[in-house]
Amino acid sequence: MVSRRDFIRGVTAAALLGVAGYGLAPVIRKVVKPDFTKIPPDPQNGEGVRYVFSTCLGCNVRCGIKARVVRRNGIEVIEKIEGNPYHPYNRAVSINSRVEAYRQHARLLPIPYNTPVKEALEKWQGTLCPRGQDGIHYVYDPYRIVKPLKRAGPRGSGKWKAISWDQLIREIVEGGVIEETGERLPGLKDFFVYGKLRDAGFSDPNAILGEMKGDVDKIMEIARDPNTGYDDVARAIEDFKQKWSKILGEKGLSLEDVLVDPDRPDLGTKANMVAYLRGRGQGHTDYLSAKWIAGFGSVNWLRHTSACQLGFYAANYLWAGYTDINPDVVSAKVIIMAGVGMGRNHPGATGQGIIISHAGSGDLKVYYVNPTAPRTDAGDNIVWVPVKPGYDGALAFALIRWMIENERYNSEFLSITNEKAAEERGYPVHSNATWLVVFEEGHERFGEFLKDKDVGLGSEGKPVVYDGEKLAVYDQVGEAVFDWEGVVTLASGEKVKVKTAFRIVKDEAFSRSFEEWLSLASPYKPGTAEFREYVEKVASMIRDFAEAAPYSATYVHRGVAMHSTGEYGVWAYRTLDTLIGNYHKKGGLLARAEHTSYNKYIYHVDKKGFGEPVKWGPPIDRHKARYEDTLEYWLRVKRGENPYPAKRPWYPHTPEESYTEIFAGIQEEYPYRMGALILFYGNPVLSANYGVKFIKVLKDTSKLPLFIAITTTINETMMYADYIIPDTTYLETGTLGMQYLYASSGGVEIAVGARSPVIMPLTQKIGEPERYASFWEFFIDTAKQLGMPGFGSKAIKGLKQYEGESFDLNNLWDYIMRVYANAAIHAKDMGLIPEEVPEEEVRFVEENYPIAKFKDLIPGEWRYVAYMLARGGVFSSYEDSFHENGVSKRPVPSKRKKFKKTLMLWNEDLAKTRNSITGARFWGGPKYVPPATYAPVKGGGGGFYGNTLRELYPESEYPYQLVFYTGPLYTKHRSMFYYYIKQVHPENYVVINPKDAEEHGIETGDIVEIETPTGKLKAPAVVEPTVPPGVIMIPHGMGRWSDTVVKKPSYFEVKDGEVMREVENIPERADLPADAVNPVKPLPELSKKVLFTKSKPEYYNEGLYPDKWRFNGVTPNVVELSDPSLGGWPLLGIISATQAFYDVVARIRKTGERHEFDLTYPYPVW
Amino acid sequence: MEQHYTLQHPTFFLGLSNLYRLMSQILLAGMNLSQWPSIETLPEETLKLLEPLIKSVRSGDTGDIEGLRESLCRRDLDKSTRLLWPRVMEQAYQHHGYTVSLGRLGPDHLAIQLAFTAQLLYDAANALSAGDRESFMDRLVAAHRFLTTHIIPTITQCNSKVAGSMRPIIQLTLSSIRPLVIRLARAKTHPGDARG
Repeated sequence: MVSRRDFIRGVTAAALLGVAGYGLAPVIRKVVKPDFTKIPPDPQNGEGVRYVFSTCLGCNVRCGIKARVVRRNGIEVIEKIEGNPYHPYNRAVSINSRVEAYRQHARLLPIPYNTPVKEALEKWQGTLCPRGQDGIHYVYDPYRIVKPLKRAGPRGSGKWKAISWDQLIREIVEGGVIEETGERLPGLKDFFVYGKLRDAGFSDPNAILGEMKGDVDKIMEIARDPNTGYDDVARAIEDFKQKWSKILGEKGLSLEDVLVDPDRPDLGTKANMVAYLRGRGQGHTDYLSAKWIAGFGSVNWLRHTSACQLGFYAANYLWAGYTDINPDVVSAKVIIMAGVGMGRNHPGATGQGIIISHAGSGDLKVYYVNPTAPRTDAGDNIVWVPVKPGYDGALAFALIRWMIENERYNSEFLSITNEKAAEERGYPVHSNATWLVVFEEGHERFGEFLKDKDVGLGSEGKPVVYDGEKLAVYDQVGEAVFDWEGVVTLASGEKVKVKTAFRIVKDEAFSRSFEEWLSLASPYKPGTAEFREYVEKVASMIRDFAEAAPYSATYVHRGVAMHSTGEYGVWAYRTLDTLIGNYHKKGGLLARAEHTSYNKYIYHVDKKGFGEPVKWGPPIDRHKARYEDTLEYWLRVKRGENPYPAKRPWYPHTPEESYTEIFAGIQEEYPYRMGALILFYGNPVLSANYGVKFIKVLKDTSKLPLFIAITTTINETMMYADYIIPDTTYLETGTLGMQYLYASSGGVEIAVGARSPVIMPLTQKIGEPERYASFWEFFIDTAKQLGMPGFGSKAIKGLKQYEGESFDLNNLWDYIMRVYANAAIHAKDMGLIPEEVPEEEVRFVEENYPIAKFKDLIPGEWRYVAYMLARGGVFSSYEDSFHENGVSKRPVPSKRKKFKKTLMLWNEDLAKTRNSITGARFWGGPKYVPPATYAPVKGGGGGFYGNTLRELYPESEYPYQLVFYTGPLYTKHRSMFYYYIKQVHPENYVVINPKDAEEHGIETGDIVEIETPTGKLKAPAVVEPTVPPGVIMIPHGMGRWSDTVVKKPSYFEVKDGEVMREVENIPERADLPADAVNPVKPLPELSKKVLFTKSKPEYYNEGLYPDKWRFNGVTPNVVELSDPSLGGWPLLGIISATQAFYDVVARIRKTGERHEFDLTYPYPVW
Repeated sequence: MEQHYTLQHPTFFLGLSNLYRLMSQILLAGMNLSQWPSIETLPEETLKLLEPLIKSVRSGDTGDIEGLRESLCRRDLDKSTRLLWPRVMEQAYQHHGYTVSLGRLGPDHLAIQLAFTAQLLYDAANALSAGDRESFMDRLVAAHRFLTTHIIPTITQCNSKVAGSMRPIIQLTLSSIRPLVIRLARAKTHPGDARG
């Protein structure tokens, strides 16, 4: 036995063996090799180090950032990105505090806006999520394009050649030729009607366009007139054609030169054949591109919103007339957080820190309604309530039923009939719970409000209420009965049944018992112990919600909304908020914060109002457009035909655009054919459900003759472009400008971030002053080349003190400096920026910010701009954002023309709208509608939706539902360059509940095949109880195959042969000049090694090396659902045209293959 | 006081490091992957500690020594975790800045683990002699954790004479450094107690 004394002696003696240890060291050195070289710590201050406060774009949330830039070997390198302590999302954490471990929890708010920047730098830090910190790899991405490219083979061949900026602009405007194939491409000039008219000799093109539009309006009046016939409309169209053929002909033009379709003048001018489509749109990229499209005269300024949150927006819009609404997370006590990904959805991983901190300290209870578990229970204050994807509406109706049954609603609020009465009672808004709706089955007015003229109370068409004794016009009484139905006699003598809007909702809620609703929503089978526990949990949830009212709210997002019938689910949740009257109040629901007048305060840089061409016609995706406003509809009606079905749906109640309908519209040339698409920062092929369907139309030059992409890397969609415009990232000049914040913006009244360059761009320099290839210069140069109004010499009009003056718009700086000036001067006039800006604030910006070199463009405003940029934006304080009675100080936002302050439990406009295929009217209020197709595909139907998905794909065939989840690390598919994050979480997989796994004999690491009605994919399984039985989940953001470099995908197949052929035709590799990519190569060696610790030097030095981390993992999008009732295009929300990502039925099979995880599973966070 | 002084002196950690290097080399020699250390020149006190190991290796079977892998011995881990265990080891080594391997020998083999422990202790000795208290603590804590989470479970569960022969040395190592690790950890969380 060895004693302790012997041990110490033996060890001490062994020390005498020395380091070499009698030949020991060589042996051991063979085994243990150092994996690092020690380097000195990064410099934090002093010579060659500078800091810039700006705005993040790690995801779409727009948190504040503070970037540290260090000069090494004469090259500036961004070395660190942290949070901005002035910003309401980041909040402030004290540095060097003795109790710093506790400070983080103690502080939930940012530092005061007037804190000197020196103090902010020395004493305060802002929190920031991993994505934000990893933004460095956005800039230093070896796959970044730095020069303009033109395709050098057929579309999608992966072959590119570099061209000069001048050639790029010239060919895009005038038209070019693909030399390798001989294809002739049209130029934008071919569609620029304003320019054609001007060049033909019309001195005032807008007068011509204005008159033409007036004539179209007259045709539409004739069409809508019930006393006219088909011949009247046809004659009106012929007269129009004759008149305009003559006028145009006199100047050498024809109708075909001007109109999309002379026989359908309501579709607008040929300018509509040019569309701008963006994925991520932040800051002034939206405003400048919208100005360009307006200057071009097109109606097609399009966004990716259907792949973002369109179902959520549309439902809020129907309910409150505004799109973006969510809780005040600072003061709420109970939040039902439904379909909101923790760590991802607004306000992002950083902003959600407020929620988790509050919950952790016991000040907030969160019920997390989601098919995927939250990452923390915050000491039992975040409670997981799993839900079956797509059945959120059923859960919400269980809650509504409980609230009504237990009379826990706010009777005072629900009784209020109008805006004035609401104000008198201390509410910023009112609901239409009391308004009467005609509810006589089969009646032509079914679903419409009962109006004053119906019952002889007036003639203005105002809604009518019942005050307990009699009917009254809604604005003549302050209160009325909200839970009532009856029969009223119309002025015509006809008797009809009416219900209050509240009663309609109540009847829907009471159509099932509490438990029956939950049997639809719960992933657990009724009768089981799990189900009983579930019922109790949901009852606790709604009880807590009711007890905390009005300091409680629903927090709803994509998980509820992005379904085929998700709009009704979101609306059901918002009904809970209506029942307690929490809108626009502290601790309740809030819309976005206000922002400064950054587009027209002292300089007019707005997207309209600069003499832009007159335009008309529906957008290609038919959003915000009614089929019943088209000549197509009226000609069919006048011919005595049934106008339904339309060729594709129209979406009058969706506030923004739809990927599916844009590409379906282009493919089907409906409502008209497209000429050119300019795609910016978007990837519909990969980011839409079943977006692979879009490849065919992108390749088809007869459907899409010109395709231009503006981007940092060439993605799965842009690989089919004709021209690639290299863009700058958000840490250079990309997406510069002022950034509004999403609801609830940390609860503050005014919040607007500022984004200015952290470093100057790494793309090709194209001219002076400091002009680099980018989005900005592309639009400015093409606009100038076309002679578009609003660009070039004297294009910016002065306002206020500059009234009567005008300024040039020849480059980015001319534009963006005036945006900053507007924002800062407005903030000064509101008292947020001081009149006397301390010199040290200005000096800080001038010594640290690249933008300071353009200060002479705005000499009068620079000091205020500097103060604003030194703080990364303009932010008012939370404490000052509410009146004493808790009502928010900001005006109630609304985009409605009337009833701006009315929360709709029933929306008459929706109830009057018809399904474009079946012709049936939509239900006009919150309702439980199971996931379904737009129109029937196998008999039955004829209602306002088609077949339920479970009718088409029964559980016996597809027992699972597949969802994805964007967590705190990745954001959709553009996250593959996040190499710091990749080292923590390098790949993705399929998460399966242990019970389901046991049934299939699946263990973690087994490769499984998931089959949906559209295709199959293979991925490794991870068995975890973080999803309930019946749900399988894939963490989102991987499965790429084109990111400048191309690596043909092999993990999925698609059942539709035509679509699969396009997938099979993806080239094995891309072929482009090495010097057109990779801004990383010139960096100091040490910086490159720090950036890419786990990568081969070929990756960051060559730039075209197919690094495995860029192309690993899978995306479920490729096999998500299509709608067989609409030509097999990706499934959409029936009202909003949102991409229905989460309605994917699936089955699963063990393949017998095993997967070796890249790092050791489990990964710490997914 | 004297013991306290001894255990905070670089010499002690250098000696400890050498002891682990020797144990690793003896195992490697038993598998014909290295030469035997020159036993006859080892200090008597050190040889006394290593004698049971030398004896068991010389009398043991090469196959038995090859089986001294954590992933094979750890019965407390489930099957899939055991499969992934070599990767766990690789990451543990990488985390501390080393690549640790020897040809076909798995990274979870006891000989490799001992070599890595020797390196951590060598780093600790160097840090201590350079007055870099933070690195010293970091390496010592790492060595302590590695011994408790990998080496102790392996030798305990391997059910092998060779592994068992090392047990006294490993346990005496732990009992020698544990008080220091605890005191250093407390000093970090309670800076007021840093002295002493």
